[in-house]
Amino acid sequence: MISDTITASKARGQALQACIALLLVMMAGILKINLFGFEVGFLFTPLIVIFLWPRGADPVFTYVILFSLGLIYDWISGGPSGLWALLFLIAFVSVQPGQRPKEINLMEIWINFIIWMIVLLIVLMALDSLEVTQIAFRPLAIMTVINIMFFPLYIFARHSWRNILVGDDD
Amino acid sequence: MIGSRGNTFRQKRRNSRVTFLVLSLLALVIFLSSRGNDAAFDTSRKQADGIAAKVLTYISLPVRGLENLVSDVRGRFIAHSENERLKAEIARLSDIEARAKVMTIKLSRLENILNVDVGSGIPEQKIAARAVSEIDGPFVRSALINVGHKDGVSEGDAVMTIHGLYGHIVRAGNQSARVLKLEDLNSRIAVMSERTQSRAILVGTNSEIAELAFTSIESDWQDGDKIITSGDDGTLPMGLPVGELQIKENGDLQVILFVNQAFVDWVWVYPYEKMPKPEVDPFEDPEAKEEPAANEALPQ
Repeated sequence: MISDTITASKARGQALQACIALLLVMMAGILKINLFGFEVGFLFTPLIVIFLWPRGADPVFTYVILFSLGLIYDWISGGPSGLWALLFLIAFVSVQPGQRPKEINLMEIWINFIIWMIVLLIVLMALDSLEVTQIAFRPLAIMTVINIMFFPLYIFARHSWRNILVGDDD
Repeated sequence: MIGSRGNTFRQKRRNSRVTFLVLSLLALVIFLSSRGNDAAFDTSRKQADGIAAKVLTYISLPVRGLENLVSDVRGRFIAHSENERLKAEIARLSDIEARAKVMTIKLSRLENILNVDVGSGIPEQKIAARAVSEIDGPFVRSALINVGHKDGVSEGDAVMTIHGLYGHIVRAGNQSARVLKLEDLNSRIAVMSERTQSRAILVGTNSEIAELAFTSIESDWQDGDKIITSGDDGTLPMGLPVGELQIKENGDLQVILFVNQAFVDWVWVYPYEKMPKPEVDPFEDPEAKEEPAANEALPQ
């Protein structure tokens, strides 16, 4: 009974940690940098956090967090309400972080992420062809590439923080 | 014991599935209902914009610093050629300035004779603001600026950069405002050719190039025409520079926007008295509403 309570508390704690990470990445996500005439946008970076969501996080708590933060992301990014909330939820369900093996090397997880991003692109293209929403594909493609390039950096930052805060437990 | 744990696990899984379905459905309903009109979340959006503007003012500082540094380094490499170009520009503009002064005097005399005030239409007052966040994403192209109602900004005001029109205010909170950029798919601006005054509507395409729509067959357009706001929509003042016309091989009219010449940091909001909407019944007797008949029962 006590161990169940501890597990539940730990699961909520992991969801909360991921929530803080998502909130920080969301803030950075709405920044854009223009260097040498080339614009770099980070709007899709929250998807990295969702892809690497803690395996043991409480799922109900996670859904509520993703819905709420998705709605906030819609508002601060100036998009239509509900779009990012829906994308966050669908992204999380398609990732199934609970099924992710604990020991996995960077290259393997990176390839998984690339495949997942491509599937998400196809879903978004389908939404566009169904005229559910209008999507510009050039920025979408650029942001996907940026996201893929930033993935190892996020993994490195995540590992560093985890080592500083909680040791090596996932 | 094992059975009870199994039951708990199944219940947890069912709970999580139900939560996912309910929240996804809710998100879908919110999304579909907000596509046409997002008024339901207007207050929340303004509050979120206000908080984001405050936070991003500080977060964006190092980003803007880096952009300025790179821009300065580039500027030093082209300093000599830029100096030559500016000298030629000053010589050209001196002549134009002299002509403009004469034209102003002539216009003023004509206004006095005809007893009318045509004006330039471009507001004299400008409100400086910082574009703390620019979103050039696949769904929307907008920016968040750190001025709002308390600074005199209101919905529909034009937002300019040193290069040209940037967009217009779509939502103004107390301390921040959301700008819909010209490139956004939902942006529609009444424009005209500076050379021929041919009218059109500038339509955003979510790219650096906008398109002209609703042009008449008789209108005259040429490659390189300067496109400015026409003021026909009654929301934006006339004469704000927008871009340069480029005619495609298939005859489509595209506009290379001036605003995309450099990254945007500071912008200016032009408060402008918009044309009021026409009344539903302009001939309605206002006195009839103010004083109800003596024998009419007043609502309690």
